[in-house]
Amino acid sequence: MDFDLTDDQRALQLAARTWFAHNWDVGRLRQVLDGDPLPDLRKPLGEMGFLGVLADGGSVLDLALIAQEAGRVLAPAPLIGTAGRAALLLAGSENTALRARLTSGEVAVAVLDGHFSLVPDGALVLVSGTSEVCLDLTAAQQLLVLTGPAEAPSLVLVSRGAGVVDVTRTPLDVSRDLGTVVLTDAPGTVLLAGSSVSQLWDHARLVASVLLAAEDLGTIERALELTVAYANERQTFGRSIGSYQAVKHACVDSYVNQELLRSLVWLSAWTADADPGNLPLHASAARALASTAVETVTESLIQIHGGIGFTWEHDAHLYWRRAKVDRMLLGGVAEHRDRVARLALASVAG
Amino acid sequence: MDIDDSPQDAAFRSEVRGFLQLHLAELVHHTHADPRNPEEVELYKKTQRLLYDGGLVGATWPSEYGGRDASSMHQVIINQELAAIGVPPLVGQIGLGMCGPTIISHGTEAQKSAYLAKLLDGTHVWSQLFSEPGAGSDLAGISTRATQTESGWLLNGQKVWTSGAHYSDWGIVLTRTDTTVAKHRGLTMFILDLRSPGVTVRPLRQMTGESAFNEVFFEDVQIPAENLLGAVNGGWGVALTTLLNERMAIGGGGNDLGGSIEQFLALADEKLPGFSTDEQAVMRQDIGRLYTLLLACRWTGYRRLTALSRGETPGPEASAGKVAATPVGREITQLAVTLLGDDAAFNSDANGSGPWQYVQSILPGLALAGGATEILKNVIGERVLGLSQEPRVDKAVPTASAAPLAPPLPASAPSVLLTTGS
Repeated sequence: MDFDLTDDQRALQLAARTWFAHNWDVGRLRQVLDGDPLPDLRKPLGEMGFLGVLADGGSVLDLALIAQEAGRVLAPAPLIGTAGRAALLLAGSENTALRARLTSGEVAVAVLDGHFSLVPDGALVLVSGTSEVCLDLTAAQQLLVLTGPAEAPSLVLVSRGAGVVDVTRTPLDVSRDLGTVVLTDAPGTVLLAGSSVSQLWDHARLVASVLLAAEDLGTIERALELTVAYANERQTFGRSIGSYQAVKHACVDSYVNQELLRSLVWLSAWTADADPGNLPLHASAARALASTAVETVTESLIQIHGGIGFTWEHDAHLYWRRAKVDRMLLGGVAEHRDRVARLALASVAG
Repeated sequence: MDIDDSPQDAAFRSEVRGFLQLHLAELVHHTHADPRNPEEVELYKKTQRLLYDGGLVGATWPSEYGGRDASSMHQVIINQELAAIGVPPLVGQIGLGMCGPTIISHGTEAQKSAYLAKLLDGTHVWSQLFSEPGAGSDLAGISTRATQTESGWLLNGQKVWTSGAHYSDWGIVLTRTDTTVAKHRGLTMFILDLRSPGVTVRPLRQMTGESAFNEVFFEDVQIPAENLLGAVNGGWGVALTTLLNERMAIGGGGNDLGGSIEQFLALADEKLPGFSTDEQAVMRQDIGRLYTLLLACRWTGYRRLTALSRGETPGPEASAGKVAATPVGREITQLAVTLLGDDAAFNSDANGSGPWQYVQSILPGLALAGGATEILKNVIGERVLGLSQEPRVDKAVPTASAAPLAPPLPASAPSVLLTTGS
């Protein structure tokens, strides 16, 4: 067993960290919260090759390392929904042109969860249904949905236009371009049909869970760095607050969470590449731990900063917002814990 | 990254498995009583000898000291295969995990050739004599004195919580040799023959009812000069080596703390249908949460083992393994006992079997062994995260002028016979 990153993987991660540090400032999210449009990073990300990792023969682990660095600075990079999930879905289809445009960042593609019905309409199909929470949505020109009965599912591509209506809502975290969308007889084309579609869909969704956990790991790393720096700097009663065990141990709890999550992010990403049979267990474990860990660490970030951590000007609430929303994405914690339990129990049954 | 066995590791695993299958009947199993029973110590020693002859004990040690120069990964494979067939921890585990590596790091060539071979093959069992009634977490505050004589050293004082001392032959003992300097600077480590005149080992009865640890009293015990381990007044550095190795041994290397997860899952699979659908849903949430944490602890341990197998030494970050594993072990056991239903109100079921009740009662001690959680969190906070230390009022003060240490346990402290237990 060799459970560590390679030198190449470390170099990739460092390159991603450097790129995000130069191309994104977490503080811009404050202006977006106040009404500025969310900057679109697709083209520069495409030029870096970050959107095409999976299409270009890279591994889920490579993409997870990039996602971790995006998560550090809460960059609005469509890595989970577009570079991960949509790219995997399109990789199974014949639509190589769309895949190439996704990879270059020319076109924004979102994947919709939710129940959708389908009515044939000549060469096209008409799709209806609602996606309540969708990543990378509002900028997306192309939408991928799973439709039809469970025994005969179809993967359908819907262009934003007729029959596609966004529901205007105020987002809690603006960095993920989240939205709600309603399709009413929206015309689309079937990209894939048949029972293998469900497997592909499930696999892509699990990989998205791994990438979400990876982003949360990066968010945790940065939140903990900020917390420790402040705990060393801030003085009370003649010494730094980090010297008090109550504060020190809260920081250590965050550190332990961070290291446990790092192990599951690596494990689940490696599993996605090399041992897909175990992906449901490992992806759900990573996803479940990520949600609770990122909530714990970002809450601690605010509490250890005291009043300053509750101000609009401080970045702490930007990290906290990410945590509060991420726990709801791609299935909640309860869903993933239940899956882990069922799979673990099944491994010993009979 | 490749989490599967490499071809070499797979070959080694099959070699280990072959050896164990061949000698299955000769090996001690969990169903046997424990090594604290004098008759059974021999059985345990025989098992260690057999495994040593098969190359499965101290495999990672340098070959010049009786090891096999194997990678840490091979040790993991050995541990996994031993656990799979239900072989309990070796009788010499403290010697193998802590005392031996300390001697390798700090001992003289004469000491290495005198002690290591017999430590490895199970002839001699070793203890770690560190904690005292007045100093545990604050280990540098110990007061057991070693004073220099013409022929060596004279030892007086008392140790406590000494696991296995009642069936051990040798120990490493941390002593105070200078009271005129700050506490960390006046300590010295010795190799001690536990059969020496003046050594009294008194087993302490634990809350489980058994006796796994001891009080050890020293009354004018003579230690030959050549048993000095490391430098005079250099004992703190030697003790840190022991503690680093202990961190890896307890919860640090991907081994689970408490009961086996496979046994837990089998129990849950059997008992869950007896609960209502609502209760099952709640319990599955707990199972999912705890299994997730257990996986995370295990793979965090494998990350450290990967680093170790490349020659890195275990650093303070290894303490995170035990900090994380302790509550997980406790909660899994708690849930296992809950699944037993009404039987959980008793020490055992109607047939006298109660493995989870037993694990439940031993976990409070495991949580303390190898460093209390609060101490380990201080280590991580200060040495990994770089947070400031709390002011330590006694740090630079000569021990002779420091506040008096806590009194020893009263003479009426419980003691039991060697054969108590199991």
